[in-house]
Amino acid sequence: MGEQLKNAIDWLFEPTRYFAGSVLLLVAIFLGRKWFSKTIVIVAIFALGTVFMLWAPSDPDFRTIITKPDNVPIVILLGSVVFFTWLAMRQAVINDERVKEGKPTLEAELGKKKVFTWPDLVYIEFICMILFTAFLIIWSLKVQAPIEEPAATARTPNPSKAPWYFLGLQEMLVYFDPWIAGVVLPGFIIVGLCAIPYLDPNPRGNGYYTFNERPFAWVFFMVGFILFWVSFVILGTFLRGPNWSFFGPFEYWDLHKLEPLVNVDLSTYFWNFVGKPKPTNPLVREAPGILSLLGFFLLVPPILGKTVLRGLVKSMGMARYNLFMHLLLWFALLPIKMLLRWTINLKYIVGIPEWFFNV
Amino acid sequence: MADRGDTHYSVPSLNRWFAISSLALLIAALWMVLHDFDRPWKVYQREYQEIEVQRAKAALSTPEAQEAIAEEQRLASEIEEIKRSQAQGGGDLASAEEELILLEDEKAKADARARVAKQEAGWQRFLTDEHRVKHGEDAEYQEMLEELVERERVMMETANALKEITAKVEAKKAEIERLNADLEELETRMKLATKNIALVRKKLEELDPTDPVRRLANLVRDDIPGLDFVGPTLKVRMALPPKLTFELNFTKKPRIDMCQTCHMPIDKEGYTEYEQPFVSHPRQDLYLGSKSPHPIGEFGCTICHRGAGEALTFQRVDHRADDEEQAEEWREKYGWHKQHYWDYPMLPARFVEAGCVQCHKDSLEVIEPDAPKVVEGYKLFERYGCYACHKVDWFPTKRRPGPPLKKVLEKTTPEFIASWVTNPKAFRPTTWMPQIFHLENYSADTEVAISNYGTGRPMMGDEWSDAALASVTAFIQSRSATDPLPEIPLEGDPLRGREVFRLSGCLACHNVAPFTDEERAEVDDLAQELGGTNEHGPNLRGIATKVAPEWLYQWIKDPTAYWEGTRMPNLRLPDQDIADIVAYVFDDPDGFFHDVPEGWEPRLTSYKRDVLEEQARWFFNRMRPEDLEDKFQGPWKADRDLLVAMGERWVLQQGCFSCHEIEGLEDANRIGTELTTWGSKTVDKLDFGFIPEIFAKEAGFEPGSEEEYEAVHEFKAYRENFLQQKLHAPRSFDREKIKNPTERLRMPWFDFTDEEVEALTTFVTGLVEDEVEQARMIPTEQQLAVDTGLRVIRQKNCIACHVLEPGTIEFDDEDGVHHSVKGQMSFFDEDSVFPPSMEHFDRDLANYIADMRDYEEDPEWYPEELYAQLLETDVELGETGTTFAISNVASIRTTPPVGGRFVDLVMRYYVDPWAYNPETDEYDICLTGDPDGEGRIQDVDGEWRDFSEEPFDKLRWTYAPPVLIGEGEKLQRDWFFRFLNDPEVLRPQIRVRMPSFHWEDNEAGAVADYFAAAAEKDWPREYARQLQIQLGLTPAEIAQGIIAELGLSGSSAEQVAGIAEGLPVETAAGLPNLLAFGEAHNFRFHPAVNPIYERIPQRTPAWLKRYFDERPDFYKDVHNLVAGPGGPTCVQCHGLAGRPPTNATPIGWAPDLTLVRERLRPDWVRRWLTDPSKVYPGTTMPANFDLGSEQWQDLYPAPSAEQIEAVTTWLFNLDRALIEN
Repeated sequence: MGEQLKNAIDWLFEPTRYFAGSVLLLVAIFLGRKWFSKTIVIVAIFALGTVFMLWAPSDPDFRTIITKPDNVPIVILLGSVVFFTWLAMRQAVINDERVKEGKPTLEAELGKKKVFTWPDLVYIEFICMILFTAFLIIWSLKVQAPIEEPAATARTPNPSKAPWYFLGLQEMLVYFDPWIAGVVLPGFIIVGLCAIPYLDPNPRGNGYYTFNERPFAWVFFMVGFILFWVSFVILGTFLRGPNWSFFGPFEYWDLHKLEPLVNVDLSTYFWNFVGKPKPTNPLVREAPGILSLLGFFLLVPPILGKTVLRGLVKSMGMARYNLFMHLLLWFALLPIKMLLRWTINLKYIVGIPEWFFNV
Repeated sequence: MADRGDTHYSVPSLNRWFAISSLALLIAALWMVLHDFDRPWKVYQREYQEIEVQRAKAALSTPEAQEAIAEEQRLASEIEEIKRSQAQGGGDLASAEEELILLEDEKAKADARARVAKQEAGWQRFLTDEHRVKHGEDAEYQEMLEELVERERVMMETANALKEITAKVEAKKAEIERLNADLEELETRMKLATKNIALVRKKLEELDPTDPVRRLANLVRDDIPGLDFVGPTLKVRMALPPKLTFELNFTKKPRIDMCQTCHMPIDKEGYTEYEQPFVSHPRQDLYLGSKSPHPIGEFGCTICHRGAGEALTFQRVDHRADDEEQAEEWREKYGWHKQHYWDYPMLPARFVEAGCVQCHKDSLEVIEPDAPKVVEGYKLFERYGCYACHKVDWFPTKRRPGPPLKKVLEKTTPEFIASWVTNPKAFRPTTWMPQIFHLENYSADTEVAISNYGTGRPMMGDEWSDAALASVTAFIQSRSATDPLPEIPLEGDPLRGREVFRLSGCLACHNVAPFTDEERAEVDDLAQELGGTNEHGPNLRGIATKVAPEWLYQWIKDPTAYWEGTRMPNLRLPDQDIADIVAYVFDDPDGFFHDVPEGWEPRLTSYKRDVLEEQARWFFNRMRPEDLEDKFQGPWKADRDLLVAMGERWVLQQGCFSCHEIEGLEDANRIGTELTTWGSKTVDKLDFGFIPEIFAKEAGFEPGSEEEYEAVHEFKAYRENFLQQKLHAPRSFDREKIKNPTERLRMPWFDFTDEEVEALTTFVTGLVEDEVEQARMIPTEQQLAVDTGLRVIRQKNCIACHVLEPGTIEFDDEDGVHHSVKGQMSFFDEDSVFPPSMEHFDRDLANYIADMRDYEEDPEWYPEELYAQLLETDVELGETGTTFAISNVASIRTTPPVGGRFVDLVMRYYVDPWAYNPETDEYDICLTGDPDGEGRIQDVDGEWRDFSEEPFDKLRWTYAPPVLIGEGEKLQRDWFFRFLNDPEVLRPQIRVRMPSFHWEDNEAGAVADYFAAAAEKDWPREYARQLQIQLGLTPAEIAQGIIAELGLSGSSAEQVAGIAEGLPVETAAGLPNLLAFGEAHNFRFHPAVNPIYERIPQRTPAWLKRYFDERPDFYKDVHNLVAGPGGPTCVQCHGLAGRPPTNATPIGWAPDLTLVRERLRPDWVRRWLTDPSKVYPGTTMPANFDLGSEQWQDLYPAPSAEQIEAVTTWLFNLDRALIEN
């Protein structure tokens, strides 16, 4: 029984299933938010989680990976993300109800009462700080710092992992060249986050949790943060093993596990399909990829703007709409590339290694 | 803060929270300090302090210490007495001291007065001068002048007063000193008496102070958390070897070994009775001790032991248990497991010698006595030819280990080749040739991957291997030249052949042992025993079924003609002898050479054509299938051609060419992994396959369980596990793997024993990247010569015939004192035919006792004493050749001499040439070729003689190969070198031949240098021993003499004894002093051997002038003494200028005297002439010149010592003397 359950979990944590499962879970939360925000749900989740955490560490592979000193915070992160997601959801659902009934939001209700900065804010902050410092000291005493072998450039550890908060970026490196995954996309993340207040045309939902008033923002945040950040951190921490191969949580990190990964460029598919040899000129050779990319970035915004997103164009104006769409399309490039990799083993949409230009 | 009443939170409750949280932070902070303070190593250091206190207290309670303490008390009371009497007497001393105080006071005042007066006078002089210059010599000037005179007077007066009072003070001081003299002397004596215990006391006072203030200070320094930065006595201790580094990021990081923090007395002597970590290193003489070659400050610990030197907990250091029991104990005690983040775990005790290799690549042979296992591994690596497939770039041996196959059909048949390759051990269980086919990864149940190449035919198992074997045989056959060899020109006599075979030296390297252990246990013939040197060449049993007679004849005649790099030497046997040996082998009266193991039969391997084709599809998978099928129908239509084509593939794939030279494959690449730095490879780079999991399963662990996880991880954590598994079952890493047949593992199976695997593992684990560049031992020319020489001696098997080192006898004397001397056991009694063997002394002794009990009819009979003879000077027992009795027979332990096993065989043959006849159940088979079957042996003059009644020693020195102990002192290096290259006949009566070896590079030179270097190295030791014996002084007396008589410093009794024991450090430090002492006492010892410059002073004109001034016919006179009647008649046994000895029978023959000049060293000749039995105990050469009496005065009137000198001079000028005669 236990063995079968472990195998089932390992099966589930295969990357495509893991990713698809995460998406489905998001959709389920989105649709069943009313049910999800019930107290019983969070109690049930934590009860089940506790049972799981009592049972699972009996497996040495599982235990090894979750008790590594530098992985312990990620385990804590898991619990806190679930809790706060639930909490925010709950507040939003309650607020939406209240708005529907014409009542003020919970936050507005609270906001009626004013309190002093001192002692009501600063004092409790100070106490928290002291307690947290004490907690950190005790943690560092009980869980020793994860000192590994002496660092050596010629003999890097396998797997060689970024700090946990960068594991999302590291995961992107699997699908893109470093200049995109390491420079362009993080750049857009920062620019995009800075641009949000200027792009957001929706005046509602300020200062309180809501869902109905900002469904798009909610979805966008959940996909970006939970799916592409938190879940990638979890994936990078617990599921990526030696040689950056995937391992189920109960699987032994076998150095010699082989993953058949023969990736093919889009141009190869195309010219094979046409039945002609690849042209020597890289621009001609990669024309299908270049054209699709150009189409993706130049045609999608106007087409969408003319059709489904007409309302958005209206409320944002052309300039803001285009900027927003480009940021969104860059963001979408990641799941698209991931899907293409998993479905048709696509290596590069545009692959010009001669110029170090690969997308 | 009071509650204002308008806040959201209640302020008092916030205050409470603040108090609680602050308290929590305080506790956490204190915990942190405690945690930092509480280190596991401190526990050990505290325990060690207790041990030190105990030891100090014990040291203070020894009788010597007690005596010193008593002396101290006695002196103290004496001092007390004197002081008391002085005080009581109210005496001179007290009043003198009081007076001194007053005088000192007065002196200070006088001094002040004198200074003031001096300054005032100076000032007045200046004023007066100034006035004269400005105003001239007026009245005021006169006044000032008077004032000046007055002041100068006062100055003089006060100065004189000071002088006076100073003198008084000095006088008083001298008086006090005089009064105190007795006291001071007593105090000095007390200091001397307590010199030895003072250090102990000091230590004790440090560790366990009686002074309460110090006690408190120690407590504060070591026991209060947070204050341990104030000069604690408990602290981290480390070794910082200055030249040793650690490779990190392409830079060299200095090594820091903190092991001493817990292993505190590791570099101190005498901590043997404690448990780890409170023990001394067991080999202080070799490691860590300040006088050892590896002092702790220069080498630290981890360079040899590995492990993480900078760690301070049991776990992080990466300790390593030697066996499962210890590991289990550690797990329980320390929660021990592999430290995963350290790539070079500590070597367990059984592999610890691996650490030697990195520095001692050029001196492995030299370190053998101290690192036997790793050197054994190195030798096995060479013997099994590992280097042929696995490159090790510094490995000294390069030759292909197996015989060439270019003319193999001259030697044997294809049928033999096929059966031999199938399983070499089936024919010769002791062979080094490994098995290549029919191994586990080609067994019938191996799964085969289905691919486009093969047709998917199930084809593993025997038929697959058989087809491969047939191909290999066909291929080797196709590459072998087939010119027929000439017929043997002579008719051979098998019986005479047996004698030649036994006496010429064949059995030095070969044996004819039966195949099974049971059969071997029954034989009573050294030639049929397996053991060391006679396993150098193959066991010759069954050889007649392998080789062709014509080939054997040519092979013995000139082995290099068939195999240039062979180690088989040319014995330069006469053709008739060779023909006799061949006749003996093929017309074999003993049945040795036609004997084959049960079931052995040479036959060609059967194969299936379709299996061959399937193999071809795999091997030629780059060919298009159609082309391949065309080839099957075309050029490979005949099976023979397909076999040859496939055979080449197989030979290339399995690497046969690495060991055997094969036509056309001379330059093929090695098939094995390079091992030069294998030990530095991290374990994650080793493919353990599924072996750890399979083993865990076999051990009964549930897959996925805790135990399985641990077992698998631990197995994979250590590179030695990989190596041991690889050596035991080289192809096991393919287990449970689906692999293309051409990609399977291909290391052959050597059937190593556990010991061999452990030794090889130790050696290969030691092959690491050179981390010790700067500290690496750079051998001196002498050390290099010794190392190379030892290697060549081993490779050429010199020690089969020649004794290099005498055996060791250990025993307790009547006083229970243990002795360990170089020597040999003497005969048990007069009736013994052979002296007891040193190798099986226990067995021989037990047999002797049993015999005597039967004979005496006394079940309690036990020998009262046994005799032994020294083969090396021993300070207590005497010079070489001394015979001594051992009364405590039960305490005797013997170690056999190094080399000379073949001597036993020759002796047995001369003394007792009978073999056991199972038919008659008696020893009645005459092994010699004696036509009458009486056990007589043919002498070199053709006569048949019976030697069974001859004294053992006489036979030993006449007919056996010579011993080579101290040979470097005897032979001139150049002559030795020439002799090795082209041996000349020295003793024609010896049937054993000194062979002509095939030397490569400078091998012969290395052997000659080795003996010279060894003699040189031995010289100081021998000097120190002889000095003690001849002057009758103990080391302590000599050391005292050096200090007292010569006024030299730095010598001690230990040092002198150390030189006599041959300790290099002591020798280097103390030899000059010892030589000076010998010089001062007119002690003469033959000078050091200088291998580079051969000095023969006897040939210089100055030397000769001395003799010719006295005797114009010097040469003639000596000639008369040597050769004339009535003298020692040397020519009776020695030849002279080609004239044979006058003694008729060969048993008395000795080398020609003409050889002396070029061959021997003059100092050795002098020693030899003086007393041969002190050079070679038991030699047949008599001591002709008796130093105690005057002989042959009519022939050469001079004292014996001068006669010896004259004969020596004559011998070294024999070329001139003979011309004159």
